[in-house]
Amino acid sequence: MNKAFYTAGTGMRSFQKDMDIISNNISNINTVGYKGSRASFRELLVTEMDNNEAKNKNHTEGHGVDVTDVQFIMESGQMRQTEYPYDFAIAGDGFFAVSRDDIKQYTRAGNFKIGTVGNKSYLTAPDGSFVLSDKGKRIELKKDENGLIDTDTLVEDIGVFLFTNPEGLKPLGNTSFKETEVSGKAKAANSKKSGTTKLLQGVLESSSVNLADQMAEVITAQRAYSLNAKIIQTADQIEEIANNLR
Amino acid sequence: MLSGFYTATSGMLMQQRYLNVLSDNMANARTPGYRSKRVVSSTFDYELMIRQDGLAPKSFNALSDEAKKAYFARTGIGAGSPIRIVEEVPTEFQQGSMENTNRPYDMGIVGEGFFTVEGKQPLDEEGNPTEAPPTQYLTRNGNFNIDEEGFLIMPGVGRVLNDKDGYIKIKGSKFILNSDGSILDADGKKAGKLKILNPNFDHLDYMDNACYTINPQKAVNQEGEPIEYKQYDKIKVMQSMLERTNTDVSREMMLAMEVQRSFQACAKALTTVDLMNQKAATQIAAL
Repeated sequence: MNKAFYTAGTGMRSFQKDMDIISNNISNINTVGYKGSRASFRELLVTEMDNNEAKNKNHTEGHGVDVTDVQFIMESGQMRQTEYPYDFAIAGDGFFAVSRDDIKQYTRAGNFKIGTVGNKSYLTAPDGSFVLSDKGKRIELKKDENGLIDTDTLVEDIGVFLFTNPEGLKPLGNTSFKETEVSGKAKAANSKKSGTTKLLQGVLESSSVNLADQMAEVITAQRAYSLNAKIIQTADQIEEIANNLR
Repeated sequence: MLSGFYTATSGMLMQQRYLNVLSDNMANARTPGYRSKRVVSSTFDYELMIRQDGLAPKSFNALSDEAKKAYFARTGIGAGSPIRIVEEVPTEFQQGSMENTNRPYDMGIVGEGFFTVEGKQPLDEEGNPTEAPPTQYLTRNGNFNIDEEGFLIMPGVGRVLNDKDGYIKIKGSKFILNSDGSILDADGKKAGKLKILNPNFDHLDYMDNACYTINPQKAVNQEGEPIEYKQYDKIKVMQSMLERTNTDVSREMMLAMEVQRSFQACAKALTTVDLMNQKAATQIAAL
């Protein structure tokens, strides 16, 4: 049968997935702490061609392409000064930990706020999950005698966690990740001692997505998609000719 | 008799094979390290076209013996071949362009050479692992990753090999790849050197996932002795870079148009032969 149909079909399907990933990157161009991702393509099975030649002559034909993996690019985004005392950013490696859905989730988004339980105030993520300290505890905000919250000591309280392989973290949405076997165990970094990690207050990390890069990706993905569609058309026309022989 | 049928059909089948291969090239237009393939066709063994010479049978008996022989003589009018077959499916090995990915596990080779990845243990006919050494795959696709134990892997294939046929323990994402292929692991210690081979392209067999294997039957020198490929030392490797495919999409598109038209021409030839046969079957009989 006409293999070109299906081969070009795998191309269209893969580039559609690619486009989905790129569009997610672009729509998160202003999301704090967002990490861009990219599709990893893999060539599919290669088989012997169906001709009556002796085997082992390496007359091979491939059967297309597939997206096998979505790879996160854990490069740092640009730092943006906000002067808001509950905004934090990690310069260098590391993640904040928040307690969400009964597990520890790790994120680079440091746009925190105050959450109140009873008469105690805690530092929380925008959705209300508690931000955790080095030891995995909630961070209670200290008040001075006038009832004003002391924000100066927060930098020392917030935990920063390091992974041997941050690219191996499992994404959970909400710019948060979960530790996996591949990423290794989270290790608390002492931001005072560690040379590669520094916690900044009043600063936010923007999305690591570069719009110019993504637009270039959009163009190549779209071209690849349309060229594959063209091949399907060609294969279809060939079938049509064959069908009209009689 | 109806050889025209088969000739035109073999042309059509060949165009179909062209299209299959170029659609694969097109589908892999964004696969790192992919190398585009071509189909080279040739003709089936030549056969001699002949013309039957001779005189009218009326005067046949009056002829001399020699002339009688000449009546049966056939004159060759040149060689021809009615069938087209696949001669070769060569791979184009020229360099693809490099793309910066900002991902530490991505590697690209500038110039010649292939990464070497250890595949799975070969299986015997019943599906049990044999004792033969695992297949070594060569590839230009440097879209690597790290496994649970901290080794550099090619996803879906296996662990990447160093020049002493061991694995490379990079430990984490902070490893450093030098341009000569040597690697410092995440702790800054030496973790070996990438095994890069640069075999003769004719000695390679094409596998899936843009991988190749060295075919021991082909990898022989002129005396027929097997060639053992050694580490290639003139390499330049780059980290956080991926080599794109070398498929030239505009050329593939041009070939697709050519394929379509050639297919159409062959189909037309087939219809013509059919019409001729139709005439022979109806009009000659009607005389």
